[in-house]
Amino acid sequence: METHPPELIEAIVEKLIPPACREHVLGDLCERFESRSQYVLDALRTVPFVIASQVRRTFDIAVFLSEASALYIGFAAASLAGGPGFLYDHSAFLPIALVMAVVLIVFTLRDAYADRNDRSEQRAAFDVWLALALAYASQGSMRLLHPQWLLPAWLMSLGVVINLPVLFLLRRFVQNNRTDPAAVAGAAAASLDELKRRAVWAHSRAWTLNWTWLALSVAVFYSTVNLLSLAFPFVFLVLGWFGGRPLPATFNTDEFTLSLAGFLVVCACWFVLRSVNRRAAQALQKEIDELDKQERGKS
Amino acid sequence: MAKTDSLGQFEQLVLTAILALGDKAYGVTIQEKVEEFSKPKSVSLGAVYVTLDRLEDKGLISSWLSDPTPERGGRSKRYYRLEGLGERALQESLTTAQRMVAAVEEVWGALPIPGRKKWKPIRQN
Repeated sequence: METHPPELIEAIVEKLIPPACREHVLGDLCERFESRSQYVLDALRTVPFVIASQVRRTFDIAVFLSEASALYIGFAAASLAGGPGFLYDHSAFLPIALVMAVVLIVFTLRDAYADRNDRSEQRAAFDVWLALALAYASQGSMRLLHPQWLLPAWLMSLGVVINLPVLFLLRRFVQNNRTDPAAVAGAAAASLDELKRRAVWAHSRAWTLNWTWLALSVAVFYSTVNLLSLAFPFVFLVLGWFGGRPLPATFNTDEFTLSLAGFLVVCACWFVLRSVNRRAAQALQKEIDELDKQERGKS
Repeated sequence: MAKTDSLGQFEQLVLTAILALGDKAYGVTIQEKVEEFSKPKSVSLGAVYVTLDRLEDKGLISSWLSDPTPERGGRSKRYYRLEGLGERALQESLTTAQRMVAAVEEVWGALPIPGRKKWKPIRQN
């Protein structure tokens, strides 16, 4: 009778489990081993939860938004080669969104599976290459499945060329400023050094996000600037439309909807930005309080 | 006293299991204990891991890896321990639960808690 799972099955399960929890999860599954089918079923019921949990632990909304903004700005800048209104005229927003989704999913999974202590340039470079290569591959499958959602080859190539250095630098910056989520939690009795470290980290994160948000806002503003004369103030346009006044002849509803969506995204990001800024302020306040406590203790 | 986050029902079960198991609390034993508490519902190991990670991120529990053992294919166990914050959160949850039990028993009479005799609800007309 078998007492341990077959090596091949265990090797596959091992590859699927993120390294941070691989050791104990594999051990627990091995301890519960009764038969091959039970082991496979147990692994199938456990591994998705473990991956999801690791993704949650390593996911950082600020990093995610920074990467999404960088990608969007990169592709929007690349599209200028086709003329200022290329994205609107060729309905290229959805294809760009699909490429961005592939890259962001790869980054999220890479973060979950990465060794947190590996802060090398090679890792950052590999992440970016892998994500962009898979984005290219996704374009190949899109060509077969849904050619309408395909990004023009020149735009894809130019976007990748622009995004390669930007994403590399961004990931390097994130790697060097990232703290272990387990270390951030449990702030019940942190030392002054730890509080300082957290404050510095929260402060730099808040700055990154503030600049990213500003860049995103500027990008949205400039990509919708030709609409401002038509749709500003928006409320008059809508009231007039409800009152039976026709929309201006040059008014493009799709263009306007996309601009509105961009504006709403910027607004939604502001709420995230506000909470990140508040957290940074709290981290600084904790450090100041601890310094005050120590000063009072001395005197 | 600083406020602690309120706990979900499953989080309460996992914290109670860790408390009950003492220094034998690791993935498999915690899952078995939680399943014992929540009978007849079955509990998956994956759900227990997710909750353990979340509780650790909140600072309610801490963990460490043991030495590898041969019966686990030479792999370590991750042991869990309740932290002060976790104990306080569990106490707060239990106090709330006790208040609820008292309020319900006032209307329905004694609840069917294991070890007690058959439950006879008192209906108020």
